[in-house]
Amino acid sequence: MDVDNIHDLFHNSSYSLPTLLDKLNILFTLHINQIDSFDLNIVDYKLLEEIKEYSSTDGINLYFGKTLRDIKCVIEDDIGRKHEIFIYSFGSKKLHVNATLPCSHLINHDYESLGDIVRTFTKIVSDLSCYFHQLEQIDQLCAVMDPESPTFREDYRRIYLDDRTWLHVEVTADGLATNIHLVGNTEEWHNKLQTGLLQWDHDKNIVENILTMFELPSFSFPSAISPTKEVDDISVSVCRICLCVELPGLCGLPQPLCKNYACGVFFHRACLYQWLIACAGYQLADFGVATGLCPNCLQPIDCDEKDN
Amino acid sequence: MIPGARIARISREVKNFERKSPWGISCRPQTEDTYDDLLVTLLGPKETPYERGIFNITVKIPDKYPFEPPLMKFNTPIYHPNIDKGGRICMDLLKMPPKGAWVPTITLETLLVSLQTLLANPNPDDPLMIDIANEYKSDIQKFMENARKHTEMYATGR
Repeated sequence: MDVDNIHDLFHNSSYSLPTLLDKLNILFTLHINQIDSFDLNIVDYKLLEEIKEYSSTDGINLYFGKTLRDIKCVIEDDIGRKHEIFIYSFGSKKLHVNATLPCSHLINHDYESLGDIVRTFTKIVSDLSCYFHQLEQIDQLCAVMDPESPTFREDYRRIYLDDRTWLHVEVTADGLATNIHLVGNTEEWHNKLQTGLLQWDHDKNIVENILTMFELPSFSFPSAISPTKEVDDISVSVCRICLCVELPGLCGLPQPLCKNYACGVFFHRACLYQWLIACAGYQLADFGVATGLCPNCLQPIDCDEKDN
Repeated sequence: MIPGARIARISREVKNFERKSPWGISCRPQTEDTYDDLLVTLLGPKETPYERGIFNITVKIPDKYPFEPPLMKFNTPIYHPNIDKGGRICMDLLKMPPKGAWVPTITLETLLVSLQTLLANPNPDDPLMIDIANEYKSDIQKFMENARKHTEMYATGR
């Protein structure tokens, strides 16, 4: 292989993965002496072998990113959803993984081989089939207010009920709903939730259960979903205390925390809590619930320190 | 404490000022990229004795902003019942509740517009300068005359 061939290798994008790997292999094993400043450690032969092996496996697709250390592994599940696993190789037997899946304990973890990763994640993907199905339905049929752009990594959804009320639902690995509660709750929704929870039918989909619980024909969508509805030049969904949607170091989006229907502004829970504490002379709140007046409408308001 | 809230909010507010500022108000940080102290220039409202006056105000953004109000002070002397010789301003919005009316939903812009309104409409029933307040109540013409002279002497940039 001469210089022209090497040039061709790096500039020709029409090789199939096996061919490319073969060519690279030839380059690395036979012509390594001709390349003076070449660090042998950057090539992980075992990994390349594994990539070759798995790139011909059904339901698994492998792609290189910007470098040979960046690998994307796409695993298809039983109904053809594609789950992307991003793999970064730190050197031999050290592979770091990132994926939009809820199992953070498996993601923040180093793997020894590509085989390890493929086996672990193929199993997860098939185990979580119900989880994916339920979240997918919610995302399709409901207006999800939080997370801002939902993925399978987040196991919760905050569903729009009306301008002042969202429903928080978490989905377990088995696809069951848990920790269901209202955000910015008002009495009417609250009463329906209380009776509805008793009649929750785990054989039905989460979406169906929610519709039955609140006696809704279908989900409503916020009229403000077009970002044109603005109050004083500040779009509705920013926190009216810090004027931001997302704050560095703070999780959670602004929520409709004031129960006064006429008010309707959003706050980060942490911002509102901090303000109520500041008004009380920085005394800690009893039971973690601060009380005071809504800084927008000056009606009584309370705020739990934790977003449960 | 929420460390990001202060810087995120104040930088946004200052940028909003650069984009579109209300009549007669300009605002910029004293040193670039830090928002601890802001320099504000306020033009005296029209048809008031402060007309044609250019008033410099320093705004100090406290560490706990926006959970505490900014501290504002006139650097240009002004003849007004609610602003004393040291430039301190007596305004509800600049004080914490329960005595004051500061809430974090008030923006810097709202505050400065309110300050302009205070210049046009003094509040002699809650004075800092009792003599000026009494003059305002008993002899409005004399007050106007004094305020105009004061403005001309100290605030016309001469």
